[in-house]
Amino acid sequence: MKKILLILLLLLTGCGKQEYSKNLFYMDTVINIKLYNVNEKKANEAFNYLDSLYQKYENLTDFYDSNSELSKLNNDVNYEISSELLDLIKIGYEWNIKTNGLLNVNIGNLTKIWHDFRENPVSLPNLDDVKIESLKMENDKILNDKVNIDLGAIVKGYVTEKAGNYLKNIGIDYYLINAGGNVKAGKSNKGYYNIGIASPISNETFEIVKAENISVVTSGGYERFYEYNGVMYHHIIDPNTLYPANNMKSVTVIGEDSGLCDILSTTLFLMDIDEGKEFIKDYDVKVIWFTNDDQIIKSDNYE
Amino acid sequence: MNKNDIKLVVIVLIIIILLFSLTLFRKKANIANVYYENELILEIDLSINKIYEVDGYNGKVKIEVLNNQIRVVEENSPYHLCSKQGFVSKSGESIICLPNKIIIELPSDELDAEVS
Repeated sequence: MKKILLILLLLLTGCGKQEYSKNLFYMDTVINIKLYNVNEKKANEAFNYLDSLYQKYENLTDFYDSNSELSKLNNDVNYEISSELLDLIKIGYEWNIKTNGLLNVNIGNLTKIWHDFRENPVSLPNLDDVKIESLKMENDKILNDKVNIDLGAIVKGYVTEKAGNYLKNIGIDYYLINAGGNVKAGKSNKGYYNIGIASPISNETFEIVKAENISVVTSGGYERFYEYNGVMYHHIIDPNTLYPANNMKSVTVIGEDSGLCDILSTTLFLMDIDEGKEFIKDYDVKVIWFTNDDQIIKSDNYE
Repeated sequence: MNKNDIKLVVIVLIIIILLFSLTLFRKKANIANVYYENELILEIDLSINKIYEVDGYNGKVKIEVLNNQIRVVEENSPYHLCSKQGFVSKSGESIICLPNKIIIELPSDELDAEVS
């Protein structure tokens, strides 16, 4: 009898459990964090920490803030950077090698040209003088004479992974972080989260990922397209063509590590779909492509 | 199991069912929540056609509800991304005016998050 009562009471408290939600405004996006099964004090402690975490990485890596550590390095390659920034740059360096130069974080000169064009789309930019160089590193030292590093493809997923790990370490297992199209989910009270993937053409959800302890990251999407003379341009730039990539409308990567999913989604956006299918065989992730002719293609391991 | 035990079980059961049905009914409402940063500043009934004005970071943000859809019609920002987005109407969708720190959310029973 006592057991039945206990179970009923547990159910009752389950119904009354609080959810705490907070919006942070960093990295050109809204980062929404939801925490479950915690008390208010612990939730606030976590929110404060995560606020300072995202802020710290924004201050380190903001390409368009001349005071960021990254900007100082871009101005002077001998500028002494923190180990946190160095770790990010090393990831960029490693992925440049893994992708044969396709994922190149050292094309800030080029991404800035396209950024300026998007701000003031008067005429297509002249790219004749643009030179692309990959990062060269040895023993944690940058060997290039000058760098132009833009970590936009890496940093959001990287910090969001750190955020999830922090929550887990302080005993908050039940959480959901949505960093502007970059979702990291912990455990869920109902056993899964429904994470929708928005269609790049209609703004509606075309797929729902039902899972917990998962990261979902989309590259592409309607939000960061911009149109000029009837042609759509994207913010992800192909270092080979110097133009915005045009292989698909969007690609979504589903896996455990938010940092890896973020990098892979940009990488896959730069590859044609067949090449991408081959490439991801080395990784434990699932992928959905939304093609230029509005077809949905899923990786072989997708069920 | 004596009589008092059964009574207690029944009472607890009734409370659970009441609480459960309450949350069910609340979620069915066809509304939009408007936030400034983290503060809920306005709850909008999407069944009433109307123009609303809220204070954003860069000044007034004008919101229009028309035939169960909602959009931002006027705000002060560099690219006017949130007014260009147009109408949204499906639960789970949102409009984010980043420079104005205004978030309009259509709550969803089905979706916990969305990537785009």
